[in-house]
Amino acid sequence: MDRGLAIYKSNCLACHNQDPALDGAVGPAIKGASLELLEARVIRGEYPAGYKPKRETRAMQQFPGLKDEIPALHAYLQ
Amino acid sequence: MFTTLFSMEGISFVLRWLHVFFGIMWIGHLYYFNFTQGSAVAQMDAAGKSNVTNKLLPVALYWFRWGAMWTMVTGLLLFGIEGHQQGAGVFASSWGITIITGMVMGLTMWFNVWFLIWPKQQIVMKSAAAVAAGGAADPQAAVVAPQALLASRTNTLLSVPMLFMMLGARHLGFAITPESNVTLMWIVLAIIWLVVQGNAIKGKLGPMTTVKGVIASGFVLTAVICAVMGVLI
Repeated sequence: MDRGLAIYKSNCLACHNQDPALDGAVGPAIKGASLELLEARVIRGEYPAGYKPKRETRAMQQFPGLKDEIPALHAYLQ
Repeated sequence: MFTTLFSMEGISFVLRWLHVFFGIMWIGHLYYFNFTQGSAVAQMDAAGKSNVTNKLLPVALYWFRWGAMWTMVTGLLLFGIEGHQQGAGVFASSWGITIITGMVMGLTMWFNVWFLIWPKQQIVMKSAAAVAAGGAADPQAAVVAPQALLASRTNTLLSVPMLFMMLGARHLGFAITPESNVTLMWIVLAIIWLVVQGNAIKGKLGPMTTVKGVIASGFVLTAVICAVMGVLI
């Protein structure tokens, strides 16, 4: 299995949709997310400067342990 | 507010709110029984003990067991809503591993309430009612009372890691990678569960005899489970 897909299935599916192009139960569609956005949200729990969030809940937890997996996740989401 | 409340996200939130409400009702009584009532009753005379068993215990056990029931129902509904889109993959996901570990402990505690503690306490209460009415005590009551205590202490023990995992599922994100040994982790956790629940059914109080002992044991069990997850994930 593609590493990015494996990372997505194991860590993101609880909130985001199986198809990253669609909205999930908690998290919005994230297909096409930039590397900058993924690093900010996944590792630091922040948004990049000037970014307008798709949802206002700010419920997403941080996954600092995925620091080295962001490039694979980013490649899968494009 | 209402747009959010009546969305899928809002329904999940309301279920989570009710789950915590019923959970407090249940675990509040569990801690009352284990931390407060036991040591207080030990200091009472026969009339005081009779009053507790005949008048207080039936009321407390009502809220205790139905609190457990509705905590379980709301929890399973919440898990169904939030976990269904992952399918079998939920057993190998960050959220799934923590919430399922907490759920197994919670469901075990629910089982202990309804199928170990409640049936045994009914025998104890019927015997106490017979004695209060001038009759003889049921000798079976003296046999089942320590068994109910062991199940109740086990639930107190399990409540510590159960809360850790339930809260951790959404607030303690840990990474799962293709290198994580999820299957072996589940096998080790299953062995730990078998030992703890086996002891609840046919075992000894051991360090759970005292209130301090059961609290300390709860933290130790939490550390052991975290260590298993930390090493294998």
